[in-house]
Parts: sequence; C-alpha cells; structure tokens
Amino acid sequence: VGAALSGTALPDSTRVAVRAKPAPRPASGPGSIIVQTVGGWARISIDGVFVREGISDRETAEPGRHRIHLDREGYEPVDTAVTVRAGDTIVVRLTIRKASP
Amino acid sequence: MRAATWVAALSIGIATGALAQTPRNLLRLGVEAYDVAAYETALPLLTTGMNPAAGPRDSLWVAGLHRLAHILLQTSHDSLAAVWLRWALRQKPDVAVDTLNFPPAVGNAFALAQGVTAGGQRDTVTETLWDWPASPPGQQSLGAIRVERSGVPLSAFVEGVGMLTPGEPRALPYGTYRVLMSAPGHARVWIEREVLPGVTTVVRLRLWGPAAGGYLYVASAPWGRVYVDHQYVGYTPLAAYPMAAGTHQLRIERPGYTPLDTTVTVQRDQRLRLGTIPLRAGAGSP
Repeated sequence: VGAALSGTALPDSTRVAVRAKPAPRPASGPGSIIVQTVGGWARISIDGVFVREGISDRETAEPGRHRIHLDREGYEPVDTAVTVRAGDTIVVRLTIRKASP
Repeated sequence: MRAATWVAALSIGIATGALAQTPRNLLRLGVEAYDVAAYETALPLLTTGMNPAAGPRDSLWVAGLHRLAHILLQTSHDSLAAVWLRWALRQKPDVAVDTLNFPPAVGNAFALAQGVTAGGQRDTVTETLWDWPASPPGQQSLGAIRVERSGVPLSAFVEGVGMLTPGEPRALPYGTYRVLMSAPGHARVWIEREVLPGVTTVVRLRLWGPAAGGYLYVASAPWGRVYVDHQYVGYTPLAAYPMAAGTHQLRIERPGYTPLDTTVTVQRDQRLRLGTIPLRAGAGSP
C-alpha cells in the first residue's frame, strides 16, 4: 500500500482509512487524494487551502506529505495527514462528529 | 486498496459501454461516482438517470437529485441547478432536503425552488411527460417543449417565446416557461413547466367540452388573479370560462388583499354568474 498516516494526533472519534491504488505505479508524476466524509458534509481543506464543501473531494497531489482538515460549525474539526506516492490514488475516509454542547 | 481499484474500474466501465445500461443503473452509478468525487463522471450519469420514466421517485432518485444540484452549484451553474430542482419539486413536492450531507448552498437552492413551485399544487388540467435522451445530453443548453393536440384545435402560447405548433417540438434554452393552453369551447389554463437540457417536455391538455359542463362568470373589485382547482386561469373579469360539471375550488387573489377562497358547483350547460366579488384589503399573497 503506497500510503502512510503521518504522526498527527487524531481525535478518538475520528476513523481514518487509507487505501491506495495497487501497482503498477509510475516512477514519477502526481498522485491523487480522495477525501470522503462520514457523518455529514464538511469544509475540506488540503495543505491549508480550502477546496470544497461536501462529503467528498478529489485533488491531484504532488508526491509527499499532505495535511487534510475538515471543519463545520457545531462539529469537531478533524485533522490528519497522508503521504502520497507518485501515481497513487489515496482514499481517506474521515468521520466528523458533532461537538459536545 | 479495494476502493481505489473500484474508482478505476468505474471509470473504465463508463468509458467502455456502461452508458448502454438502464437509466436506473446509470443513476446508481452517478451517485457512486459523486461519492468518490468523480464529478465530471457523475454529471452525465445523473442527468440521464433522473428520467422519471425509468423508475420510481424514491430515495435513490432523491439522492441523485441532491448530488446533481450540488455538482451544478459547485461548477457555478446555479441557474441550471434551479431549473432541475423546480422540475423535480413539481413532481415530488415533499422531497426532504438532506442538510446533514449537503452544504447550505444546496439547501438554499431547494428552498428557492420550493418557493417557485409551491403554488403549483394539483394539476388536473394537463399531463406532462418527458422525452428523455438515451445518452447524456452533454454540454448543450437547449431542450424543447411540445404540446399535443387531443383531437381538437389546440392553441398554445409560451410567454416570451410565441405560439407553438401542436405536435412540433420547439427548441428552447433550459429554463422555466409559462404556457397558455386553450381550445375553443374548452378550458384554458396557464401552466409553468421546465425545459431541461437535451430533454423534450411534452404537455397534453386534458380537455372537457361544454357538453360535459358549464361556464363560469366572475368579476372582482379590484381585479385579481383567478385560480380554479389550484390552476391559474386568468384575471377577473372572467367570462364563459368552461368548467366540468361538478364542484370546483375557486380562488381570487391580489397582492395586498385577503384571498377569496370558495367552492362553486357547476351543472351541465349552466352559466354560473357570481357577479362582482369585493376583495378585502389586508394580508394577501405577495
């Protein structure tokens, strides 16, 4: 599997599944990150840049480590990071939960 | 790994003939494509799969509608999203908006569409069908509308467009259109219908003649809009408006005035004359 979670601390309520496209893998070139949210829509940001509101997003990503952030009013923010290898498509499924009152 | 492989398989399947599948399957594929953020793939699948003749307007259909609206809004096709939502809500007014999984922009678009279509209520005068393309309509913005005669001379006028020739489709940009349909000695009615890209909207007038009913005469002071059985039929004064024998709901409304709601019963061959009805100033429809 051509992906790895970073050492970012995750809230207990967050479940992250990372899967990657199998070989053959190009030796160079960008990869892709697919973000799916579970539990509702969220504002999705990658590497600090807002990309979409919704339950899914797909972005081309250069090989290397990328930070993913979810936020939504009334919900606990979610942060994680993934490492993309050249040519890989990584599916990241993140659960967003309502914040405690 | 399995999910990523599946994404690739979906793309390959679509490119190699999945479009020959049933619209129902295409709708399901469109929903799945959206859920893995393959929006360009999802859009033609959803527009093809929304064909109401292809299956029930069930949870899958509603899921497809939400995703279609969201994709169009995200790509700045707000007006097209609005037309799709109006079209859908005329058929299924009780759609519950999924505010959990779709951002406020989608909910707002639904609310706007519901505001436009809320007065449409029960349509007893016309029947609407759609000639849906077997393949995705692509990027075209034109659809068409066609009115069908029912064995009598039929007149149809589209506001802002002109007369329609019965039986012949008129190409139109996507949008919502007001159509006046009438036939000599029969009911006439204003209706609003959507034209969707690549789709032909087919409207049939359900005719009833004077032999099956009577005529309504009504005026109001001041003038107002007249609705018979929730269908807008014209302004007061209304003269010799053909109605099927039986009981009908009548409404006269004017902004700033309290709407008048009543029921009228028309007998066969009767000329029912209600005289001039005064409208009372007060809270009225906008």
